[in-house]
Amino acid sequence: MKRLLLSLIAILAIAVSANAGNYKVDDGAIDALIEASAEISPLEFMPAAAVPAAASFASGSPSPVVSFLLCTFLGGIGIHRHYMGTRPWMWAIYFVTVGGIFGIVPLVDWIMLLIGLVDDDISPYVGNTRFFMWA
Amino acid sequence: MGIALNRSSILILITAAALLAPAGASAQRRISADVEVKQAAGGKVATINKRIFCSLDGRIVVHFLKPEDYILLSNVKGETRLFIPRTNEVVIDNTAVMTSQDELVSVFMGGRSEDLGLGMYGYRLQSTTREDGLVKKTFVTDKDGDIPKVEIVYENFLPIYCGYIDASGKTISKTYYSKYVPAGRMMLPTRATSITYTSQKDSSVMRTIYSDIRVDDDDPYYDFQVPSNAKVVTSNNLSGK
Repeated sequence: MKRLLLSLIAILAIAVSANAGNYKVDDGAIDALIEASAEISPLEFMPAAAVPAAASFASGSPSPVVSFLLCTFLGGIGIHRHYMGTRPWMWAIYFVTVGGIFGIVPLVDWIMLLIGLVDDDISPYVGNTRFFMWA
Repeated sequence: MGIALNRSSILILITAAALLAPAGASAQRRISADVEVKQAAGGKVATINKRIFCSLDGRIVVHFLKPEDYILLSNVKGETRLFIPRTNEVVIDNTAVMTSQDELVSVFMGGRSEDLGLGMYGYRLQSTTREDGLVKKTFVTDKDGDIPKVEIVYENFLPIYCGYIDASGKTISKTYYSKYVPAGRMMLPTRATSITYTSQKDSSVMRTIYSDIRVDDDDPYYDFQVPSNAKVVTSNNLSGK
């Protein structure tokens, strides 16, 4: 509960700072948010044999909602790709981008998955081994 | 006499500059750094650690340490290989070159900090404005499916902010660059924070911290070669499912 409260406070602080009209973020608030979060392993999301991942899930095929949410929250490290099924090392390719143009690929993924969510069809992206899943 | 002296001085200066310039350019051929990336959302945080080795010729070696030991090699020709030491396997991929060249250190080292590498993705400069002493440049693209507009804000010629704007004009992701340090002849941000807004209530935060930056060090990873007996897992170009 304390962690949740701290997270909410930190998120609020980040939001206020980010909307303040300047172009700088409150590093302290970011650090507090991260420290208040529970550490998880990215590998928890990654099936050992990732192509096609759909077979790894009891529900049969990856859910558009879950795919979209994973892209929303962990898109920067390509977790959504592993959920939908891709090469086992795809996360590493995504992580090379971190620090560069910073997430434009996950952002486009996110938009395409949002469209897939609306259409209830993400089949083009399931088991997709291309880095640019929409290309 | 005065004019002749000035001419001599100018000649000496030009000669000295010509002699020193190549030495300066060759003085910074390699940079390595530890990188810690944390992505937090919904009270959870995932961490990936890597050490990057960037060479001036465009060769990049990324040694992933967490969550798994991978070594990724890339060059400007588009050749990318991922070596998995645990299984002695190598994955060959010729499509991921843009991603590896996106590495922040590579962007700055390659002199692409002005547009943060957006040009590689087909973005072009639309406008330049001044705002509270800062310079804001707006880049646009007409490519379908991409983020149509990106804003980069500079302070003292260094990018401090990058905002991604969707088709409706809403900023859906912001990245802040801070804590610049000198690395050889250039300045590098040692901290980047990306906040992606998915709704008014939800956001995802990614913090990247660079540390232990070394210029022209002799780490053997710069010249890492995949063992010749490594098993090739995938030799296609990932052009299909």
